[in-house]
Amino acid sequence: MSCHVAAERAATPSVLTLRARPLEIVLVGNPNVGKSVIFGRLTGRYATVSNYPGTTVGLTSGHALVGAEVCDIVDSPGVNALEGELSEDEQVTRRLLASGKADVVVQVADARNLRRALMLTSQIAGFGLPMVVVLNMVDEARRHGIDVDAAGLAAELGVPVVETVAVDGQGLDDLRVALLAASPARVPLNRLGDRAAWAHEAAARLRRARPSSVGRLHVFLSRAVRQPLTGLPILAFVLYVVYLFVGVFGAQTLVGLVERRLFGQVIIPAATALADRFLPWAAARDFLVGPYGLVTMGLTYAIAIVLPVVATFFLVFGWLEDSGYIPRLAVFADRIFRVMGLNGKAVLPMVLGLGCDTMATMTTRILGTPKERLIAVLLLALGIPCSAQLATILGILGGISFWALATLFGVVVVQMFVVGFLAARVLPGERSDFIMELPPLRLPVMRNLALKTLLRIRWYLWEAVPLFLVGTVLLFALDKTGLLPRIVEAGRPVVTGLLGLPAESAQVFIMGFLRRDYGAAGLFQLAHAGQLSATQSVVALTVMTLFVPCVANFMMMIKEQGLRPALAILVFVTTVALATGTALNYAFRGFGVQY
Amino acid sequence: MRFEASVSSIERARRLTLLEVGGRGVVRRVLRDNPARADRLSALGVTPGARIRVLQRYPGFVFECDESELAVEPSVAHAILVEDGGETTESRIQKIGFRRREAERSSRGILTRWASGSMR
Repeated sequence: MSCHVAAERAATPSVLTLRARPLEIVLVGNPNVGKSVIFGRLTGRYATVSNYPGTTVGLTSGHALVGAEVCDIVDSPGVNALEGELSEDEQVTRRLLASGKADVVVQVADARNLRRALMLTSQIAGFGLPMVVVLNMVDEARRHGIDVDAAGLAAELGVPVVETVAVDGQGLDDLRVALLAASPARVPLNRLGDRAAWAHEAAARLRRARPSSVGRLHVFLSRAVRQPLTGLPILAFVLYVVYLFVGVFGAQTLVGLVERRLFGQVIIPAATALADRFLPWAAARDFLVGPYGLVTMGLTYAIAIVLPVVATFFLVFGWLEDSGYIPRLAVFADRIFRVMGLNGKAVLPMVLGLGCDTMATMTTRILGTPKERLIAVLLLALGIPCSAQLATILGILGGISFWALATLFGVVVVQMFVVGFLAARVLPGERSDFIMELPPLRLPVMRNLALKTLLRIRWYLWEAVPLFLVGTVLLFALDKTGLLPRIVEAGRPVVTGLLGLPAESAQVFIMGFLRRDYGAAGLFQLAHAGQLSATQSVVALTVMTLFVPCVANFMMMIKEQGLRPALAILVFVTTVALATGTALNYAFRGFGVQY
Repeated sequence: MRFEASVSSIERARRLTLLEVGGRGVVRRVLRDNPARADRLSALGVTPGARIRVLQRYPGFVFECDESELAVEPSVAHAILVEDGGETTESRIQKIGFRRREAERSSRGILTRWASGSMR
């Protein structure tokens, strides 16, 4: 790899300067060019890396040694422009550049797409900050027959230009050196100040394209997944594979192993024996191994029932994310989503919601208008089951029948349609036009996939498991103080009367308010204990699916939309959930449905 | 004289939706009846001079613009005016090599710049 301009300037030894605060270096660039990979390489910290625009929607910061000093490195959301109409995540980056806190800008560019990168360079130059241009993915560009004249570009802009292959770590040392020589870019615009014309002309001058016959399979696949005739069967196949891996292997095989073998035969008996021997007080024993015990309930739910499914889901989901497949679904989804006041782009937050609704709620920032963001947040809260919950649904209903599953998903999908359709008409505002970039299809890099999956599992353990334990303690306290029976009694008219469920399931719904999957795990145990009939399981799970996902998701809704809209969504969604459950219950009874 | 030049160049331009799958063209201009949309397209590289190839028309309109693959709804594609005939020119230039294309571009650039400038 080569580094131009930088070398000679950096040869002069840099003087250690005293600063009030560390130098702040900001990574900026078009979406999906590898900013987060470079961030990870520079700082040793992992920022989620995927193959679709909009993976990073907030700022991530870390430290890196540049020259002789430790600098702050900030990874920013991808931007296509810094002027004019900007999406929420683009504004995050713009505000950062305008804040005066950024000292050096590193523009990361896809070497294949010089023209678009230069359009952005001309806008970044407007901030007058010292900058370095990184031409990333030069290997992919060369395979496509594209060469960029890096020295020529450095001369044109008057800034260091570094070529990198960030995923392999190539060129990162050059970048560290180049950072010392960063200088403000000069963009020779014509007298009309026409950026597009300059970018076009400069790119034509500095970029050479040879004909290449790369990737016939790539072209074939890329076409197959977005055309209806082949794309829909492929989608069905992908869903089936995900179901086999997560629903069968994860939710049945692995859960069976961990819950029955590890917990049922080893951990719980051992914990009970230990508690019996060392804890003379019945209350303390119950606290750990009673019906609402930390080990018997909290850990069992979190580790034995949910973790195996979440882990398998994160793995297969990460693979799909990195392959570039998910954004291609937007091509199909656009027409459907338009009915709901959204456009095809909303497929990203919706599909990401299957991983975690909280993260997906944050991803709604990539949508174009406030109305679209509100509708997407609402639909995520209402209908999209997250991985953990999907797991318990598959675990319970998969064992009953295909039709039970179909009923649940059918009801949820119809409900989302109806709510989306009405919201599109009732809520003020406009939807934006569907304009979306499809990233290239790529074979996922195993290292990134493994790292991402492990970090997500760790995130689950840190974020969700404590909530499971808090929930268990809460239930334990309610039980010991005698409040639980009263709540169950108070909930009876709704739970038993309207939904036709056994009274004990009231406690499951309390858990469900904390986390949907925690509640669903409770249903899983009720169903296994034979306390729920098939139709009751469907009703209970449908209601649970339609609830607001979890406390964390609710907090994120407040953060993204404000307290009042979030509360309104909470009340609305809970009402819809209970009303749907009631309707379903009466429909089952009225038509005598059995599974 | 300038006016005549712009009229003739626009007359040769067609809406992108009129191109068949596999059809190629060069962006002449993007209609600015919806400025936000035009800005977003421009940020994605759909600017005068960009080469376009239509990949798919249904259910969504998908085209390649330089090295990016973009999916849009039909009304957006409708607002993009392309000059066709790019197919033969481009493929011939690809074979002949880089130098010829550069020459071609610089001669075309004057018109392009003028056309886009006149739209603002």
